[in-house]
Amino acid sequence: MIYLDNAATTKPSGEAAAAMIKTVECFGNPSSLHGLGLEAEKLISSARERIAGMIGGDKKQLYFTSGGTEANNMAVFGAAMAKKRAGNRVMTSQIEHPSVLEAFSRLEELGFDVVYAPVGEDGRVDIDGFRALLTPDTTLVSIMHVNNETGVIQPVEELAELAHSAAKDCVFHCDCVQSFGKLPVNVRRMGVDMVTVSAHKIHGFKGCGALYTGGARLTPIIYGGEQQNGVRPGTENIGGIAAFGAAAANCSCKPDNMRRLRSLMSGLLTESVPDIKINGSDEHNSGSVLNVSFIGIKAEILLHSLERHKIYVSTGSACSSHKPQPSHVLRAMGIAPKAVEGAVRFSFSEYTSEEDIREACEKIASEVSIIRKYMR
Amino acid sequence: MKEIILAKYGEIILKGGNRPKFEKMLMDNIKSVLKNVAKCRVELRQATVYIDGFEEDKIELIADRLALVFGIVSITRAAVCEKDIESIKKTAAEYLSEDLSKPCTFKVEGKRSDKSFPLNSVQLSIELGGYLDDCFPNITCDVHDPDITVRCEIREFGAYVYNNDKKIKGQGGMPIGTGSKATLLLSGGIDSPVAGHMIAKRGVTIDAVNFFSFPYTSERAKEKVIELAKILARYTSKIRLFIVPFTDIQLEIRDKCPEEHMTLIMRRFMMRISERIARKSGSKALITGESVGQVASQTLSALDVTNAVTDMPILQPLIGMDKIEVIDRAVKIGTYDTSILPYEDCCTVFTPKHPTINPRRESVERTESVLDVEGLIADALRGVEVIEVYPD
Repeated sequence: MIYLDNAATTKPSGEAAAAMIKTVECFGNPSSLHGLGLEAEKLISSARERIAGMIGGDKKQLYFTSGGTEANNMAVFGAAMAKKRAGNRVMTSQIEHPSVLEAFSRLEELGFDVVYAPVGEDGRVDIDGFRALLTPDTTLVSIMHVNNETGVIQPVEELAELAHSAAKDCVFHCDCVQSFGKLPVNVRRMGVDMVTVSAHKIHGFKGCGALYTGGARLTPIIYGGEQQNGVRPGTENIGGIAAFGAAAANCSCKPDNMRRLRSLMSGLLTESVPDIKINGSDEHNSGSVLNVSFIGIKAEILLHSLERHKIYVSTGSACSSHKPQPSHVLRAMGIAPKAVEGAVRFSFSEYTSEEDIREACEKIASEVSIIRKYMR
Repeated sequence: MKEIILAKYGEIILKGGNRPKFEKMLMDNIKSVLKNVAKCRVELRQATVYIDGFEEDKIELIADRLALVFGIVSITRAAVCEKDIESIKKTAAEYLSEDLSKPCTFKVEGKRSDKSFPLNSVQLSIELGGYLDDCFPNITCDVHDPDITVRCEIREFGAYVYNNDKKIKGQGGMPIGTGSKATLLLSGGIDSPVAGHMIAKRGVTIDAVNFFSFPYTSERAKEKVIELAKILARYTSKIRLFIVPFTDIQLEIRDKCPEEHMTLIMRRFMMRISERIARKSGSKALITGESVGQVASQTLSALDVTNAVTDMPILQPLIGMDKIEVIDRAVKIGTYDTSILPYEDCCTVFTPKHPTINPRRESVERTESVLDVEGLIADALRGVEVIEVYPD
């Protein structure tokens, strides 16, 4: 099997699995007063310490959630609502993950003044366009670190600085689901307040993520007990959290290897497959994603063809004539519809090998030529 | 108070000497449908199927399942009591108290099948009607156009009362298994499941054939077809689904035949392969979901070209229906929501931009003659996957 869909999810590591299995015995409720509860609580605080440490943050401000989607919702709704009196203006970009975009579109329905920063053809948020939309009363900005479809690194440092200097009261949230563990993520160096991270993108398990709040005041979106200071109540998912901690400990946070693989693949494909287009900036890429348009092909057909060789990839757009949903990211970048239709996403992990890439490229070249022959 | 279910059958009544055979098939089908639902007794008396002996809370589930059985025209829940006028009155007043408490008009229709009962049908109606009129102050009698019709039937083994307006409409049609077998060309679309349902309704056992073009259609498209077969199996209790690998044939046609004949030649292959499968499994006909003029491949000329490859009868129950009528039926039988799931469309890579609308047999036969038809069919048949599909 050659698994090149790591931006969707990753294979849980042995260490993560072992940490989760440990919680079968250490099963106490972290809120219980007895020893079993304490043991569970310790697992959580050690994971919390590790993850907060990795992003250069204060462990008291890290809250575990059911995943990236919840953490993003918690940040967007929590901050917008908490700062409602200070202002009505909130901002994000056109290329965010649906868990941010849809949250903002709900804010629009609730009467907020929502603006969407444009992106350039390189897949980066346009700094001038961003600046033009900033107002002094902007209370919340949410921009992702690395885009999930293109792997392009956003100019978060510049944008955060701009936002904080133009709008004093502004909270800056950064969705780091695709970068955490792969690139250095540091709240101070980046100048951001809130950060979202997720376990299953770094070889942990699904159903576990976290929001670093940076001390920002948030209106809770979930109500219940006093767990996690009542900011995110609900009995903690100790299995998932312990595994998250173990998975995080394994992360290199160095993109060099993946960058090498990405450029190898992009080179091989450019050599062997005519009429393709690499989408998004090469220079500002995390290395974890290679987005390629095979012009004249429906991406889903290539996906299924590769599946026959046990090569797993992803498409930028859902293939369906009933409900065409071409990628909002690629469209925002101004990429031609024909190229969007043929866009395939290859995404790597620390376990991806050079041989994997070479073999995949060989199969891609032959499958593409077969499909092109029949889709004349 | 004891409640039972009465299921009445329709067209079977018209059968002469064969009627017992049809009745037995209906009884078998009902028993098999209810087998996994509830323990109960199923008996046939005087053109009515009586279901009783079940746990009280199962009654709705049983009624729902019976509503899917072909051959049954109506399902009624009724209260049973002694064949004695006082007990009938008491039972009726108690059983119908909720319906008759609101202001409305009503009438009673008495029916005495057991002639040993002292009151005749008219006397029974008058007696029970008078009693109910006294019991419920809000109701008035109207024998011409009542809001509620109370029925009271006296049979050999007991009396029962029910509100005739609460009757559930059954599927109608004939019991599955009374009309031999046919093979349905089942796509993932809206039409073919409806066509299958209509023929099954006439008592015909259904097999289904699906053509699978992986990787041009996805694994999910296949799951969708299985799901559709599952929904049809609610009515037929089981469907045998043949999945035919079709990609190689499509690629071969694409390679060697003119684009405007692509769809027609593809469909000719589908007919030929379906016929082979049908003959082998004892089917007597093919079923397709065509309706005249819906798309280019469903013009009469196109149907002439497509159907020429088989001499098996081809049943096309939707042939004269509008799309909107077909959709209505799909919604009713429960296949619509699954049919509109978006998974089948990668197949559209193979549809020509300008298909022939008025093809001629000879010209398609000529363009097709470059293909090794028999060889391609044999290859496809070798790869057939058979799935026995049961309802959930």
